[in-house]
Amino acid sequence: MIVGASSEADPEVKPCDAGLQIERTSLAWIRTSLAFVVLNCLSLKIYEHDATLALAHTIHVALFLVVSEAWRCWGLTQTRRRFRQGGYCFPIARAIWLLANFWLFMLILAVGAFEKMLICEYDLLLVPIPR
Amino acid sequence: MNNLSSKKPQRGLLDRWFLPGGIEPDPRFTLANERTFLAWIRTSFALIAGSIALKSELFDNSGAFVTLGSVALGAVGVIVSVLSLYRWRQVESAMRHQRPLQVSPLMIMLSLSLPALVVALYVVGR
Repeated sequence: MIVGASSEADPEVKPCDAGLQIERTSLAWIRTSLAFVVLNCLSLKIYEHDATLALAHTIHVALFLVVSEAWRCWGLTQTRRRFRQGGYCFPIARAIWLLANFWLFMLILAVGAFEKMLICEYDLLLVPIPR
Repeated sequence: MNNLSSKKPQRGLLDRWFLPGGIEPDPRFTLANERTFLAWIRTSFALIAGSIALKSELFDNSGAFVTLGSVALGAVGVIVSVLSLYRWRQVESAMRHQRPLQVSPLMIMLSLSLPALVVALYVVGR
């Protein structure tokens, strides 16, 4: 038996997640990822004279984001199973919506950063400005 | 009882190794514990960010007290991040074995070390 879960769930009544727990946990993960990115942006100031270290740092941040997101998505599937076993439904659509928005934001940010790097380092624009 | 709740939950190898024995707690409590762990990690990030900021151009970083403050803040941040994992496991294990929750060493450490650090920096920097 699962502690705290209702032991007399009515099969006719569709169970629901009253506490929005998964959504809140997803948001907490995203806040943590963003805090990590901010922290690493701040720490890049230390390596501004050393391009190799700065690159290593950036790769580390990117790897962290990819691994933590993959881990979190795997965790969501596990939680879904547990919620179902405990008699709760899982708001997967909201979680996917949240993730899609987060990754769109990260993609735009990455393109912007890449373009800025091209401008600063090589005086090159991805999309040339018409004169 | 419905058919879904009668199934025995399958546990992974890591779960069995990290949290042996006990019974499955309510997933809502597990998720609340996970969020608390993440909040502690963010606190740790903030402390480390403070440590880096102290050594940046924002402050005159030539003084010994700034270096001391930076190192101390960074050390507290690292300790908080390590203890947060210990705390997460402690709470999860207590829920699995239906034991009462223990006092968090993190809260005591942080609430004592931060005022001490601020006072020390103020006294040394005067």
